[in-house]
Amino acid sequence: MRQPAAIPPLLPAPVAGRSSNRSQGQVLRRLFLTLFLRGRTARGLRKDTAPKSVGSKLGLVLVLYAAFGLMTLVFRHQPVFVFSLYLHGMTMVFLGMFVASSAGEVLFNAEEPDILMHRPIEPKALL
Amino acid sequence: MISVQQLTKRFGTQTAVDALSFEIPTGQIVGFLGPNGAGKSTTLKMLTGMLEPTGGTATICGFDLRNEPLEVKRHVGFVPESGAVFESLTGLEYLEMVAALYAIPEDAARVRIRQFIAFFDLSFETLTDKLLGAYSKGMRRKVVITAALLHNPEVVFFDEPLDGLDANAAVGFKALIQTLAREGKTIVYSSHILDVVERVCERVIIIDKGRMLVDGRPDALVAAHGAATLERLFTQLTGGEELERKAEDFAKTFRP
Repeated sequence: MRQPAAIPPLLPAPVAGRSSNRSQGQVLRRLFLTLFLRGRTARGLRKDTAPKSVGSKLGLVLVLYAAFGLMTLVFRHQPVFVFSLYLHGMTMVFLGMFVASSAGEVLFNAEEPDILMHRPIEPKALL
Repeated sequence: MISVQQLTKRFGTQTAVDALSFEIPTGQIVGFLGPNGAGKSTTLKMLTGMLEPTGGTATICGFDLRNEPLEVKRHVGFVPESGAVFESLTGLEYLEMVAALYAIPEDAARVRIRQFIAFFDLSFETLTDKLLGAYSKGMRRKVVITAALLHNPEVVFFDEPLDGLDANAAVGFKALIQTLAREGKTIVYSSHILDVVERVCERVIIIDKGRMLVDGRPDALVAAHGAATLERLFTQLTGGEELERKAEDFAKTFRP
């Protein structure tokens, strides 16, 4: 068995006025975008295989929406009422899925407070 | 360094922490013990500003927990029991994010992260290439401990810090917290591994049902209660002896 390495030297106490190059708001926005892009749980993934572009992910979502939108062609010879019923139905389905997934990931994520709530983050930055 | 006065937390009609009071001076390592549901994690969450107390108050490094929560948070580090991390970040991304939240300059943060990588015997490639969701429990725990110490806090709260660490890492970690205490850090160490607490902590506080049972030096408490070890004392005080008898009776039911 290997012995643990030497204990790291202690940092000098934080100096008032010195700061990171990024504000807390920027850090949290970047975090949010990365989590949005890669998903909150990515068990087994490597960084090089994780999605890299917000644009491509949004593009995929738009393609999916377009595919569902094109399904309306099926209703082209049907009454307008049936057509609108389909559109409203699909809107509700997508809205419901969005709310459910957002609530699960953001509002009721039990582990997020353990990561962020004990850090000195301004409430407005969190919002 | 830490002054807790009549700290209370109620969830509806249930009292999780009941008028807890104690003082911890600078440089002391205090074991904070209690059975499951005793109120240890709730107390630590209040002292780190994660939960608002229902009553009482606390000052940490001279800052009032109720009136200056951000200042308190700047001066404390916390290793939560859950060991939670953002699984879709790499270890390095996670540590850099934490460093930025404490406004640590990026170059200083990188140096500090490298020191911890060497100390915990982590591979830099793993830290940069693999997402945290793919790490073992022990590796993830090392990242969480590093994240708690990156900003050089004056007070550190550890909630089951050895969970998942291998024997070598645990030995190194124990040496680390003793060194931190010698350098003037105040350490509050909550754990169920009582022999480690007995060896590392110069003082223990045992709570049950949110109330303090005893507070003192482990050897003095053990002698005063006529117990052989801290573990014996703990079971005496928290009703564990009855559980031991129940376990023996239950085991007898397996006899052919």
